[in-house]
Amino acid sequence: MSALIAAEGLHKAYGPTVALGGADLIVHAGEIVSVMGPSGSGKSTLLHCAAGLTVPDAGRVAYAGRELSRMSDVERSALRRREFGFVFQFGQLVPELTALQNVALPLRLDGVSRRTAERRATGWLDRLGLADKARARPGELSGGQQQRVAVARALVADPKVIFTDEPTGALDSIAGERVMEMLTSAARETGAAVVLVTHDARVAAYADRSIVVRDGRSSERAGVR
Amino acid sequence: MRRTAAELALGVRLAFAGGRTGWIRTALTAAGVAVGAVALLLGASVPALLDARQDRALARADSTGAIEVPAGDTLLVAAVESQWGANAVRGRLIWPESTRAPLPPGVPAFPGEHRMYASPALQQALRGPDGDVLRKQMPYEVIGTIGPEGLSGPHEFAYYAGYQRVEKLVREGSWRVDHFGYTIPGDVESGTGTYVVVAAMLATLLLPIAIFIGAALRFGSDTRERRLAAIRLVGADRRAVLRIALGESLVPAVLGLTGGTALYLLARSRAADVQLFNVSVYPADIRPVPVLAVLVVLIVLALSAGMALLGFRGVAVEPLGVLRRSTVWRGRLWWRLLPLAAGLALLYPVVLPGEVGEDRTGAGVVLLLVALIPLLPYLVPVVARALTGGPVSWQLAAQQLRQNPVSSTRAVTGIVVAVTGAIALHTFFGAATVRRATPDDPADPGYMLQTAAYQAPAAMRARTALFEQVPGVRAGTVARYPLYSTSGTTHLPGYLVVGDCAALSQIATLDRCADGDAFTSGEVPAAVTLLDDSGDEPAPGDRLPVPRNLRHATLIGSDAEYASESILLTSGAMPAALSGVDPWFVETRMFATGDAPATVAGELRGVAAAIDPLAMFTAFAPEHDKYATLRTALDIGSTIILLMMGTGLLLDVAARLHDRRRLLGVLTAVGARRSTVIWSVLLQAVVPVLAGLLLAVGAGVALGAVLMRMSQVPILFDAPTVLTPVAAGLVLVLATTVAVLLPAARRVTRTEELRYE
Repeated sequence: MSALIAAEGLHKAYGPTVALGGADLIVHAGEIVSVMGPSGSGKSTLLHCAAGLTVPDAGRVAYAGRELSRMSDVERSALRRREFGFVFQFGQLVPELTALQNVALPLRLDGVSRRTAERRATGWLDRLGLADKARARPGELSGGQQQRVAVARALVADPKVIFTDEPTGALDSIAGERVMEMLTSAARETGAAVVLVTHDARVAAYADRSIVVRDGRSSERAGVR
Repeated sequence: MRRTAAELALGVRLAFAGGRTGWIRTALTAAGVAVGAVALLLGASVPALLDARQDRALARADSTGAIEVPAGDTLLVAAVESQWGANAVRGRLIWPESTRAPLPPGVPAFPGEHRMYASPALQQALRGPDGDVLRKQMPYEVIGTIGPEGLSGPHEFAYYAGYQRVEKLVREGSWRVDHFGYTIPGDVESGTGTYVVVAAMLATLLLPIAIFIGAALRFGSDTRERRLAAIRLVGADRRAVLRIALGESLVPAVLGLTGGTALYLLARSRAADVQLFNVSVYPADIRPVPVLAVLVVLIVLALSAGMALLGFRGVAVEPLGVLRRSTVWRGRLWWRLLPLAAGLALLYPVVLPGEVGEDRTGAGVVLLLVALIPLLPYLVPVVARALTGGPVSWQLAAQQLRQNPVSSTRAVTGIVVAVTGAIALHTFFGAATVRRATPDDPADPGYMLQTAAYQAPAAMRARTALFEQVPGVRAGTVARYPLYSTSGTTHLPGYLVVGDCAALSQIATLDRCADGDAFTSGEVPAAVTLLDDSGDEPAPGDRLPVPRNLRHATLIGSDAEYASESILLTSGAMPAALSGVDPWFVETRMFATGDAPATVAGELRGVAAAIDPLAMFTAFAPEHDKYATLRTALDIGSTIILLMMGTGLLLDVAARLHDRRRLLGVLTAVGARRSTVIWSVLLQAVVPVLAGLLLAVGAGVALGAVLMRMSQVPILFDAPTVLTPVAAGLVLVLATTVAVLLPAARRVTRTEELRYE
């Protein structure tokens, strides 16, 4: 089976600090891969490079056979709208927009009509138990609810890959588990792959396999599922 | 297309949904745009306004120039130009020579003898508290109102009175017209200097507004940029982000345009209440030229969009956050001097003798104001470098001022431009008022009445007495005959002046005087010849003998300047041959003392009108402060601008503090005293202002001198006029920093600011 995302030999440095020193990441369609490692190990940088959010200094990242570094900003942006979804620890929701508008945003940016976009967004909010919060702004929601809105937004465009970076980092354990259950079950239902960056083993347990990043290098962790 | 529309719509939605910060930013930007739009719309209305005034003036023009209209279906007209306080009074004494004589515009029928049609403003003044004084100037019965088509504006004082005596004064004060609307070449209102002043005022107003809008747009920019980064994450490309920002900028632009148009319409509806430079306008005359109005809308939208996009200069909004390009400030001087050099080059002809093109000067004035903007960021680090040493707070402030002078001076530039404009215009108005309000020489009278017909000495004394009945007025009446030059040149060597001792002593210093005395100010022959009416040839008749016992007198006032060899005769010394000979003028000279009433000018004009309504009455003393209304308007405008600048400064400094909160927190954390940090923040705000105000004084004085030179008024400066706007700017900055900056500075110097997540 060919890889959906193939990141090979990635190097990235921020000034004198080496974040990645030859890391690899292979993600197949529909699988959930956790990326684990201690703080500062380079796992978030690996995710950013794999999602085309950061350009590596060396190495290559291909999505469905197409090299991201050769894509224009417009093409990479289109990927983020149509093929990728993102759930980060915080800061990814637009505080001025309602939950419904936040979820519909990728579709609206892609030229989908407002009615269609909001209908699909409503569907996802409903599935994630947020139907009654559609008109609420992020500031009026709890941390767990905000993350579920982010999950809904990540899923609304039927993406092929969902990139998550510490999605439960700001939540208590119960809320965190609920978010993870919703995220992974929805991903499996839609067939989306999930790249799950975390340092929490309980979160990593939702993954099919796990990658460990240490000092900018990655290695497959044995024994997961 | 749908994507673009969705992105613009998203921007519009974000402008409304930005929370408190977003609302403040939108409201402030809209307010700035509104003020700018009003100014631009009013500016766009000026051409139509001037055209309308010109059309009105031309429609009622009755001056035939050198053309003599033969009698027929004609109207006899005599002009009575007068003054009432700040208002010029346009009076016409008319009498038809036929029933088909032309009617003046706005007048329904010919008024009968001693009856008049008056303008609404004149009628109101006649009914007012000093109406009885004014009535003496036009002692006619009001029988109707002049319509708007016969008036230059709603506040004009004008009347058409029936006055049969004009029949006897043809060519001696009255003339015939067979229609109204004469066009005399060159008889068009000259607005020398007006456009320059308007350009200076618009630049003074618009530049700070643009700077204010920039400051308002930067308010809360970090939140906005983070939001845009979040939108980038879910798939917006760089262009989409700009389109969203454009959509966001459209909201305050449209709100501001709407508000500005509403304010413009309000100002237009109240235009009839306003009078500037004795000019009032009908609201209907204020209408923007359509092309200019469209241009205003486009300019406002383009500027708003441009400023919004300019906010992204050096900023890269990426999906993971915002990257700012940090550049080392180079501070090159040469290009900063280009606008200054261009402005000075345009203004250079002002210092040369001769006429100056006002378009060129207007452009020069605007360029000189614009030149301040790039100069200030250069000046501030120079000051910071010059003042080495000092306490730690100053070292910290100087470091920041040297490294990033542009952001330190951004909001201050507006204050500098506003203060410069205020200094220039105030000093110009001050000098112009001095010029126009006082006689050239204190020895000259404040008012003068001149008539042409011979008057016996007793009649002259009676005329003097009439004027001296006005409290606080000293007067003297003399008959003035020009002398024919024995050298044959047309240059007048002097006058033969006849009057009583009191009247003569107003013209020359006399050692003593009694009736029968005669004086001369120079060497005169035993007999003299008078000039004829043409002023070129000797008058027919015998030479007049000059009394032998002439004593020396020293001429004073303008006589000393223009009539070097005059002969002054008391009535007892007047040669018999002069009796009954019409002089050039019988002039009554009037001096008002401190006891004179406020309405002294009106009272004297009333007395003059009773003597002869067509006599020439000249006021040399101030009847009103011509620039009072404009000064008030300028003060109000300056206050609004300074308040806007204060708000802009506040937003800018708060934003800069917010940007540097981590650095300030670090300083506090490593042991810097909070007072040291706060002082450094204060110095960063105050030093650019002081440097800017120094620049403003220099530029304001230079611009004031240009305006004075342009309008040919003496170049005068007084310290309060120059320093008041400076003090206002300084107080504003201190009030802003002390009242608002200090609490903000305290907040951002907490070590909690180091907390990252």
